[in-house]
Amino acid sequence: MANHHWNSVNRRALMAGAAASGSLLALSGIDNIARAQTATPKSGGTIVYAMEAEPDILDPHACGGWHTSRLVLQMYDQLVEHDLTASWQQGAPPKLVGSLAERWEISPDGLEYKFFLRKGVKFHDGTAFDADAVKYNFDRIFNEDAPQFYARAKAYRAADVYFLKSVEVVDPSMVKIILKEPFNSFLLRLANLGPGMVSMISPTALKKYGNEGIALHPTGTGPFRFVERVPGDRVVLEKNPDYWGGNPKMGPFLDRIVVKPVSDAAARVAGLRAGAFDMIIVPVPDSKQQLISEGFVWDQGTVHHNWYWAFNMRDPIFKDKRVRQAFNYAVDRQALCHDLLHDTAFPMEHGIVPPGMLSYDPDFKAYSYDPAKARRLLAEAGHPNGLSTTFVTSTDGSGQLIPVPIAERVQANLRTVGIDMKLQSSEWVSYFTKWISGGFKDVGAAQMSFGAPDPFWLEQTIGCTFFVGEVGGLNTGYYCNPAIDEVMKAARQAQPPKNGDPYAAWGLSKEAVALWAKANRMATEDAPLLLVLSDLNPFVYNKKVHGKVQTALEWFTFRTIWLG
Amino acid sequence: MARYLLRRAAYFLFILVGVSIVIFTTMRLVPGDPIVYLAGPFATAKQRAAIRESYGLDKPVVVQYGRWLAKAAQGDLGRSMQLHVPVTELLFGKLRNTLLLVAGSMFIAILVGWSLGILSGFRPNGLIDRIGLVVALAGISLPAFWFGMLLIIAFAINLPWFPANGIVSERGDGGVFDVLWHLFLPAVATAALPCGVMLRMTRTAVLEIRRMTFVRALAAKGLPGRALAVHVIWNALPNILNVTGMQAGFLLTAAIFSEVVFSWPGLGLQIYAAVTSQDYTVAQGAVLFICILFLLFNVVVDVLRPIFDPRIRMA
Repeated sequence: MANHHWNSVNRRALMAGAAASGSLLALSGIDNIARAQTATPKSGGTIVYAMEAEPDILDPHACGGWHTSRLVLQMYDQLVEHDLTASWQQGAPPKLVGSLAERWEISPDGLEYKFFLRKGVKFHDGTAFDADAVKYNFDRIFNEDAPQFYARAKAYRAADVYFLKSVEVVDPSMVKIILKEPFNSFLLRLANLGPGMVSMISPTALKKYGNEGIALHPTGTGPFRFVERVPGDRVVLEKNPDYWGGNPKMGPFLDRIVVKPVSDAAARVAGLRAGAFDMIIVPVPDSKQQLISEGFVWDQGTVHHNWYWAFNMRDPIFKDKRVRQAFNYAVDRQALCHDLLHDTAFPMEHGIVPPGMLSYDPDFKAYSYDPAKARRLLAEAGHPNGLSTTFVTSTDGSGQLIPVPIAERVQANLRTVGIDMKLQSSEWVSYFTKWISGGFKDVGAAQMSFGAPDPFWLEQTIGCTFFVGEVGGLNTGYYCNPAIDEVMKAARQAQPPKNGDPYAAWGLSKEAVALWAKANRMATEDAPLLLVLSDLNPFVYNKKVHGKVQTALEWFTFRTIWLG
Repeated sequence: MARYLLRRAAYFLFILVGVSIVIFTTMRLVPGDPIVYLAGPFATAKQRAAIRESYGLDKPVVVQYGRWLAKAAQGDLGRSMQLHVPVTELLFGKLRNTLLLVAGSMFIAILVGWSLGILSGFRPNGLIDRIGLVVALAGISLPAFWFGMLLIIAFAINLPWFPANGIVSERGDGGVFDVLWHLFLPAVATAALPCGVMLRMTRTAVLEIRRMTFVRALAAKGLPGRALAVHVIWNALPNILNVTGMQAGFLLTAAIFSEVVFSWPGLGLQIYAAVTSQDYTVAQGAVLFICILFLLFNVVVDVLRPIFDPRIRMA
């Protein structure tokens, strides 16, 4: 029911855009799925995909950032995954399906997860996939005493480390994972990609190439195999003809995938128009009308992405909730998304949790644009003449869209209610490094974009009793609200779903989702974050490309794609 | 001669070691910690420490430098911290691509710059001179990345004569002609600035020589114009070569703008990425590479000078 509602909200937004552009191709997402269902897929061909940055290491356990995960997931599988054949209109996030595990059972106390592994699966190097391989992979990530332990992998999965107790091989087709305390987001965490994916790497390959070398010789069970990587130029994958999940209807169909890192958005669009690329990600929003009019398919949909500022709770100005709320009422998100980003982003007016998470509530009316209310709140809080503060953001970066122009719009909005926001920006890597290590101590707020399909993300972002990182991890604003923490803890410790529970397909129960939604409402009201927008993750491709599913996730599969 | 070469070699090594020390310490003085970025947003202090140790970055800087130098002397520059690819492997490929771009750009720049410059020098204030002035000013003033984008729009999209990016066709065979076809637009974009500079300097060099007494003397003796021109050009060559050599060296890293716009996988882009992501090993290795190249360029110019300038030969 909730899903249907936000479907129509977003479809309305898309239709408004389509009406404005006068082209039905703006509804291409729906159009494309219709095409995929009626046309017969053809096998073969090479697709060229231009991505927004050079991928980092092709090691699933230690790759950072969604842009690398999108590539790595083509070669690797996990025990459970989100259904990547479901488009965003069919529900967000997509249901969990068994991948290398056919099915699973959760003990009533929520501490034991039994995975029934798929039989007859082989890695790309011919090694058999079995429970020992699963344990080997888990040991690499979590077990410091194992010879294959990889410190970098553990650092990425720190949240799971907290809860994981042991991994046991019951028999070659069954693995038991035992947690220290109930954590009902565990399955979703296993299915989550980037930073760091709990994928299954061939133990033979790991032993042969070592922890550092495996990134140069990816060996998984996925629908595509690694061919070569020329750093800065390309990564080439080829079809895995022995893929366990291969079938004539769902693929894989493509012979080869050539992935090119093209860091300049305008250059990506230029390459698409010149025919050098078949598909690109993160196009220039301004190019939307032109590309659609030239016959390209522009596909976008809601994903678990939140572009926000985290108020620095140690700054005396922001200790007063009314000030934080005032900021939220002062931003005209609709205009920003429409004018600046050409409806390639979704205004965040329904709470901190973005669409794409189960606890998203489209009926929850949170901060709309109300400058009068903002001024009133500021006056009540003791700032009748406005105030002055400094915000920081990056100049680019993974998932950041166009941070400085967006920030400047927000700055202009704030100015109309009397807030003088000084903006500082720096290049992505140094910004991200500083942000991770809590380096922005003297600013009013630090911007970031993040999200995950699993509701536990909320606790990682604003929780304080659960400390994942060294200095607040994602909670860079040092926000601490024990009441909300209690609700979130209850949410993640809620009992596993019973048969027939509407959320069983994600490993969660109705009770858990309700608690997360409650935490969302409490947190949104307390306004630890300045909410701005949620990316709609546009992909653009030419008419030859069929079967590309616009998922409600930040990632997708090449398996269903074919060229015609 | 042998003593001269030995002295040059020692000087070479001295500079290399000096530069490597500078880049080594500078990278570590830059604020920010590459391990923090590598370890990701969820790492605890303990996990970061473990990763730092695995990269050997917990040792004192002097020890780190000693280890690195010892390996570098054997040709092992370590692995990229970000990509785990061996640094030498990473850089050689990029180096070749940048040299290709530099060679292509210099070819165009020399063709246009020298010819227009020489012609302008012989007929100052004439039509060719004025055209040359406009070309030179445009080349020096237009930002390379903007010019590059313009070229893409004009000759890759509107008139689909050339590819918009990359070094070889994504679906092609990557043969010599494929590469040359991809090289053309980036080379033109990169050639603009050196062409402009060389054009004006060549013109000046020619004018200077023409003003000299011996030229008037030769003309007075009745030497035909063409033969006289040859003498003038030949005498202007040392200065022209000087400027050309400098521009070529400058292009090694200035090519980064074209590398970004055309996605030309070269050294400039690689260094930029390494420095911004604080990938110590790649940055150190890359600076060493460039330093060696620069020194080699210098040696080449120094060796060529006596050939072209008898005054030096006699000294």
